[in-house]
Amino acid sequence: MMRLRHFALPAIFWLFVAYLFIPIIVMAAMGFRDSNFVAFPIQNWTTRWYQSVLFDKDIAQSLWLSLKVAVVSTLIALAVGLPSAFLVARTTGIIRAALVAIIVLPAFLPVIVSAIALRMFIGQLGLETGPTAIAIGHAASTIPFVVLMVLTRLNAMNPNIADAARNLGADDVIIFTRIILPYLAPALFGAVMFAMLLSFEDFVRSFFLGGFEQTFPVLLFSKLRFGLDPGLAAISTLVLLISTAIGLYADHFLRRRRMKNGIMS
Amino acid sequence: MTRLLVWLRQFGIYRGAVDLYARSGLFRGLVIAFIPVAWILVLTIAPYAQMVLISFYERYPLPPDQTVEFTFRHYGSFAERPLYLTAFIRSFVFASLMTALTLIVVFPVAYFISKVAPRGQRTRLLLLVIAPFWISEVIRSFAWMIMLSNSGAVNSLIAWLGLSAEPFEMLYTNLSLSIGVLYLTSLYMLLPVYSALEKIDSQLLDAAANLGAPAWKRFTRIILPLARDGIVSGCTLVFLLVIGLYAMPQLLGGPGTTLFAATIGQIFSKAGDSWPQGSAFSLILIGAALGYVGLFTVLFQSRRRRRAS
Amino acid sequence: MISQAAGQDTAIELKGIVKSYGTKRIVDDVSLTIGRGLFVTLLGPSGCGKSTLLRIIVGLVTPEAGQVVVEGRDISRDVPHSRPIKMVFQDYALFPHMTVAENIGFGCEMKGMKRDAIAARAQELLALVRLPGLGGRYPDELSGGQRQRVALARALAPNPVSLLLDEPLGALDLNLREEMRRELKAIQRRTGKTFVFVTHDQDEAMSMSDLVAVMRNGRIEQLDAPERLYARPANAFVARFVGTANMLAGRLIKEDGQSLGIEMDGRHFTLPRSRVTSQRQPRIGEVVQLVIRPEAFGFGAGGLEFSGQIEERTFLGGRVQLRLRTKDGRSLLVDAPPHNAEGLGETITLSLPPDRLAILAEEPAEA
Repeated sequence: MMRLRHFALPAIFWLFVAYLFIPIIVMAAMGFRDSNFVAFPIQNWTTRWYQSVLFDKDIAQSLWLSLKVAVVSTLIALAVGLPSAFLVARTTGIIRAALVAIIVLPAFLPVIVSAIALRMFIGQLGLETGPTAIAIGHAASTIPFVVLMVLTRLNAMNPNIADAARNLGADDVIIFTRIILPYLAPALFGAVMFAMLLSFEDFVRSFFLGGFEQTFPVLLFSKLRFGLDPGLAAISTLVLLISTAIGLYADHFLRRRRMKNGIMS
Repeated sequence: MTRLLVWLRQFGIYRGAVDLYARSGLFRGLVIAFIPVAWILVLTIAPYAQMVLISFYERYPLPPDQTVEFTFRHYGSFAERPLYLTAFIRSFVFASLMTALTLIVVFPVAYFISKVAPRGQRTRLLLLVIAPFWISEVIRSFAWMIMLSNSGAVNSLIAWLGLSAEPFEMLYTNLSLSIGVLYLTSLYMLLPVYSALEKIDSQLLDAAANLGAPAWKRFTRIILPLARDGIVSGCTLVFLLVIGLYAMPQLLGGPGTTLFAATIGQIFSKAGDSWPQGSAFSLILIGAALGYVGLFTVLFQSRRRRRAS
Repeated sequence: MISQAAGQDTAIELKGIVKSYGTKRIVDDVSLTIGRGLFVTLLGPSGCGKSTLLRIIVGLVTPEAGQVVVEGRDISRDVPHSRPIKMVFQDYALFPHMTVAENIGFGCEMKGMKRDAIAARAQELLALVRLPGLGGRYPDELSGGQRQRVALARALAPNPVSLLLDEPLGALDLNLREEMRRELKAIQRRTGKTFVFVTHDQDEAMSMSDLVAVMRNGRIEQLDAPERLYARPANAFVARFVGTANMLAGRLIKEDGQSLGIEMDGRHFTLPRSRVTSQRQPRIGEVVQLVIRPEAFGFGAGGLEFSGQIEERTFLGGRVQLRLRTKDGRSLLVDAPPHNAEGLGETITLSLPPDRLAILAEEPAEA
């Protein structure tokens, strides 16, 4: 038993970490290979891929589209998710359970099916496939997370705080802007980061809802089906570094705020 | 900002609206519920309702001057070609095996972080394994393509070590697909299992040891039952994720590994005429997946309830 | 003491307030007049409706029936954010993301006051609650007692006509609570505002209030000054809830002008009619209850005599509490001076002056 605890478990853990990181490190290294093909060993090193890849017109356009879609879908997710969380917080019993179920369910259905259902439906809304459709699709997939994150914080809120503000003369508009929004700020920050990253990395919805303009994952997918090259490794490495950094920062931020708030309440 | 809002109150219309909101529960309900309910109706329920409807249409979109004909034909076509059924069954077997594999790989990792590692390091170790969570499915697939292709890192290493002159065919097989999918699923398993394990009071284990329980008994009688909820929700998440995978099987899998999600995708990349069949297949997938997961959950939770009562 | 003049100038008047949750009436037809400048306490066990009553006054809870009149104006239909009465919440409900000064200034800000004026007012109140210099702190950097003071300052800042306090001392530890009691009372006296205080702690109620309203099941059982509440309880509930009481059941057998003849355990007492404290006068043949406080007994013969064996002896510092068993099997709680040396099992005789008890025309409740 002692051997299991002190040798086997740490070994498994570090093997797992190796499994997670070695492919990424290898990919990052591949981005430095001075050749047009992916192969080993890497004998000649170059930084030209990392330098040039950002000026590749296709890639730059796809990244720009991904970013626009991420921002718009996040705004939609906030605009719908925030009132949804308030609505859930006001209900009780069966209505609340049903409401939560219908809001959260889309996150659990197979992605391919929800993408296709939306693909067939957007015509009814007068939309073509394209960035708007992708943004709506991404919003649909991130709303459950926004609602859950906001709701968690809302449930932890002392209801007397809003009542105290009301008693001191604040109407509902002021309570919302001065009390509730600032209180929710950490959850909203987390939700925004989460929604942006989920949108940015999504493939299936972008693939089925997209028109001729491709988001970055879709472009990468179609390029990968034709072959691998170090340039793709370079841009993929850059993208993953940025999204990981943002993700870790958001996680760290939320963790810290949660602790701080734990003392307060 | 606040000054402006206070100043606005001297105007009767604004004050009237705000006071109506404060006074009337009905008005308040309408204001709050409008956007969420509209979204749920239009973008959650309606697309699926339409999907159900289309799956019964003879053809869609309707040719002009033709009345709607309803048919079960598209559901029937599922059983007609062994290609569909094979992919369907393969999907369920693959997703089940991947779920089990993920649990086996991730549980010791989660256990190590939550119970064995020094308390002060836990957050850091957790962050280490969470970090790749934000990487897109396509980029992850790409990373493993570099690793596993015939001229990839693993085969180059094998050749360099002189173990084999011929490269192993690893990419575009079940092996590469499994390795890649595990990369995707492990975090969805890790988080629920970790938080379940973390909640278990270590004193329970000491108490059990003090009462004479050997290590394996402590594991089966204390840890596993208390971690059950986390394991069940982790398995549910992973299974539903794998069953709907679309990009990774196409990048890392081969012709012998076609999954049902890809089948559905192919139907849709054909002409619009195939929408009814695609809808029917989608609904079959949803129904079967939720039923399967529901059964799994009920089997595990009923035992729990029996013990509680 | 209560000045009668202050009592006649009404600050808050409640008329026939009713509030139910489901089928349970939380507030059951409460009418109450609170004089300006008084410190009035609503005292009662938890769930008696006292906090709900406060929330009804400030409009956070809407009653099914009844009116709230403040300074002669019916505010029952006013929205909560325009009512002139401020409240201190049980858990203080300080805004966690605002500094102490911002918290205190919030009410003034809502009135549209100028920035300098708000800051000056916050300083003034920080001085009043003796927290000068803490304006820049955040609530989570304060101790429990400091938060309590900030909550008080925040409610006082917009200069409300009256202040409602919902168990504000409940979360503090014992020493701090006693200090805060004195301070609250001092602040009330200094500001001259009407305070309506809610508590389940009788010591708090008795030590601070001009008037105490004892509540039970949504009703006000008795509204009186603390001394009268203690000496002349209107019913058995009040007698038991306020202080400790021996409740002895007897039967009224004789009425004679100003005196009542009562039979108990085969003995006869004659007691003055003025000691009947229930609203209703007892009728001949009816069971009545005698309320006797433990400290009312004297040692030795004379007056109404009771004797019994000491069963239990509890030393309480300033006094010794004895539990006696009389030969009729009744149990009596008696306060004795601390130097009392009677041991367990000894039989002692006590005397009770007839004007130290209260008579209630009320059958004992089923135990």
